[in-house]
Amino acid sequence: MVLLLKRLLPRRMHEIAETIATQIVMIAVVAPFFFIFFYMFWNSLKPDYLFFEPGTWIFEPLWSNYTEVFEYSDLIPNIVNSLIISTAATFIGLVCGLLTAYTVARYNLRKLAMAILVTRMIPYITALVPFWIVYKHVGLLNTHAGIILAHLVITIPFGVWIMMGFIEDIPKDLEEAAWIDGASKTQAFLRIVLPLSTPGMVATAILCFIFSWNNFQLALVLGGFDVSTAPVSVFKYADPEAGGSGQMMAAATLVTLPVFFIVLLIQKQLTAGLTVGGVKQ
Amino acid sequence: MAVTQKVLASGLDDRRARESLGWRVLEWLDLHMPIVFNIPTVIFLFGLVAVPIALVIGTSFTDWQLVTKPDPDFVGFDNYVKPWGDERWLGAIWHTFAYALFSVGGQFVLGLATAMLFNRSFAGKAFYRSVWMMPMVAMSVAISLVWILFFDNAYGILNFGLEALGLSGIEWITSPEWALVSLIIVGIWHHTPFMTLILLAGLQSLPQDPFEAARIDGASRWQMLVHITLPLLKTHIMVALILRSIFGVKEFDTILAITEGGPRYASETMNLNIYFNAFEYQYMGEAAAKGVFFFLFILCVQSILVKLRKRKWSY
Repeated sequence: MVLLLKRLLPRRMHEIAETIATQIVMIAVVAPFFFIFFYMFWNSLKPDYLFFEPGTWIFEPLWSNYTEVFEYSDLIPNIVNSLIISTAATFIGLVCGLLTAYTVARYNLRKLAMAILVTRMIPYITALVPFWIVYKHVGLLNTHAGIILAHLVITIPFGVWIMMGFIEDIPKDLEEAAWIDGASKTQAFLRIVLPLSTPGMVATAILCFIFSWNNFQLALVLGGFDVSTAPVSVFKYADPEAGGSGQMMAAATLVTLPVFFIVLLIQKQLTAGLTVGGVKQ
Repeated sequence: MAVTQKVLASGLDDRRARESLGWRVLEWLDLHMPIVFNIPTVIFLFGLVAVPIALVIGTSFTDWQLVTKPDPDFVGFDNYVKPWGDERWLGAIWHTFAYALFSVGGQFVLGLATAMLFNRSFAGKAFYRSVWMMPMVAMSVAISLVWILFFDNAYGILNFGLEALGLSGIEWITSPEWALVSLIIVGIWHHTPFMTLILLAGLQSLPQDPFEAARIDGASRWQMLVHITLPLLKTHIMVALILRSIFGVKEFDTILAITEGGPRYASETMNLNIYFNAFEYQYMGEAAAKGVFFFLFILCVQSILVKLRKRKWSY
């Protein structure tokens, strides 16, 4: 018994020490990442005068910063605009992405896939100059349709590249079996590929939505007083005279937290999607 | 008997079905699937990318200014030549280069270190990883606001911390020397997780044998990193560097929100310079030429990195 303990103990101790060390290291590593979001949320509940005492962390939380953001800023209408714009751009991007990804995967259209990848390299600012000129002539500046169209530059290439990964994972045998049973290719696509790629489509849709939701530059130029997006409203708080620091943090929290909840829900698929265009080439 | 009749009947049905319009449409779709399915994507991307590029190139040869010169004249390559005498534009090129180089460099070192940490199993890994991924999906304008408060000279927690350590505070975003450094710090914070994820995917795909062999030969951890891990990880490293450099060169949101390119243009990048040119001063011709140059610059960065990727690395 004692002998057994003697043999076991050092190893156990070593293991425990290693576990504790790993945990400490990991906490230290993720701390700066967690801290900024914690700071954002906690300070959104802070009265403005306390921002002059950066050492004070304990105070009675108050919600007035949020009500002031609702009252004095255009964040809420712009969040509604953002929801409309991102949903529409995501939907179109997803449909285009699914169809193109399917043909790229099954007919091996590598050149098309690479051409679409190149469109992701184009800086938005280069495209924005002609966009603005055309929009001004056609009257699309400061409209939902105009910003949705511009956001397709984000969602379509992204949708194609993520969906490609998911569709390549669907075995081709299933479709071939359907063809033998007399289904046409289109029918096989609709009845077999479409249902099987639903999980991939959900992940793709969420990613497209997040990237469209977060995009700032397109709406900054193409939007206006009537139609603009959430990041543009948040940006207005970057000017210190726009409102107190508490309101700054409240606005930032309002647009960040919803995204985090979604991410926590589907973390696994996101990891694959976020590195798209990187690993599977 | 019954069975044969059924087969015959189904054959008839088939024939009848084959002649119907719906079936013909399906058949036609089958034949032309790769074309039909790509019509929406190609139309959208052609209209949203190819047409604007043609337009921006056209505009770049004119002296169009929205207010002061609304009727554009053809000026040849003037817009491509003129900016090279402009110190502000040269500064912007330099800042873009420095920003991309140092932020991607920092991201790479930290990303590799953390990828190696995450490449082991330990309790709570999923939790740590999801915290780690948060910056990737956070709105860049929103986190810029937090950094603005952090960088505040008098009341920011960075200077508060420095002063608590007995050091003197730094004028983070209000001094020309530190503005770009501050933005690089934000860039590293924001995009290291992306680097981690790609390198982690690479680490997880590595074969175990070389490491076993090296361990038996008594190689140190550092030797294993330099002589085995890095060479084997080369593809993933290059892909991560290519993608991050391109996005680093294009960075816009955090720079505009935190410093607006200031103070005195000290942190203005090409992207911001073009933005101000086009949409604040409304020199459309000049902005278009700079935009075309910016696009070519990005293609160059990409092709240089792709070439490096193909070169044999000697370790």
